[in-house]
Amino acid sequence: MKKAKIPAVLNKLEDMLDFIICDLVKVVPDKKFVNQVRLCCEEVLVNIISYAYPHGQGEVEIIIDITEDKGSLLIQFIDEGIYYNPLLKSDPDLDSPIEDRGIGGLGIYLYKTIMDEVLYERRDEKNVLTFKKKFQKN
Amino acid sequence: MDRKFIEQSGDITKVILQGKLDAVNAPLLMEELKSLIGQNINKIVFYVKDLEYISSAGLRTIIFAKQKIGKDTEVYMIGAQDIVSDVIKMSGLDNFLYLQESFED
Repeated sequence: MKKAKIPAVLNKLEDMLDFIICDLVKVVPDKKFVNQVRLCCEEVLVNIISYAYPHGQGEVEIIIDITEDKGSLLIQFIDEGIYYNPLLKSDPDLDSPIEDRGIGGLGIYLYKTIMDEVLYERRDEKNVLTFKKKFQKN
Repeated sequence: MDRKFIEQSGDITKVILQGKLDAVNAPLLMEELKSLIGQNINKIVFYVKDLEYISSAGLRTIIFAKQKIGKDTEVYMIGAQDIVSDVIKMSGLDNFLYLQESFED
């Protein structure tokens, strides 16, 4: 397991994603899996960067735990920003005509679809979002 | 305006994407697409053979291309790798654009 606290600003997004992905690529050779994980993480991180700290700057703590022998991945995102539970947002209507399509909610829908489990918890004035996904062992 | 992504070729508007289309560079593409509003664009063709990654910020630029540039604008996406086409399909965008191997004018 490893963790990092990184300022929640857009020009740190690549650093955050690299921090998560660099260990994953060593364990999981499937590029598609790694890319999907990256996508899910970007969606969460961009939301935190954009909305968690409306009155100033803050940080995001990222915890990543890869259990190789069980083929399980856990990623946690913790911010001290305003209360926000993304799992309460309704899914976009994928069958609606494109003209009516809102642009919100798509990222959340994607990570709920891709991940095996997504959990939200408000703990000690913090937002804690947890991803879990199984992978094929190398 | 200096364009990084968009090339005009006859009445076809080409958008050439490579590497990643994410929250960092999607806003730049969005600015370029906005400059096409009201230009009577019939067809926008995204060439994505070398695109390795797209996030929802990137998907939003494609939704924008279909929604805002012109009422009857057709959107094509050419040569998408699985990593990209999977996300397009997951989002239901394949109902609104033509996912093709190649583009014949």
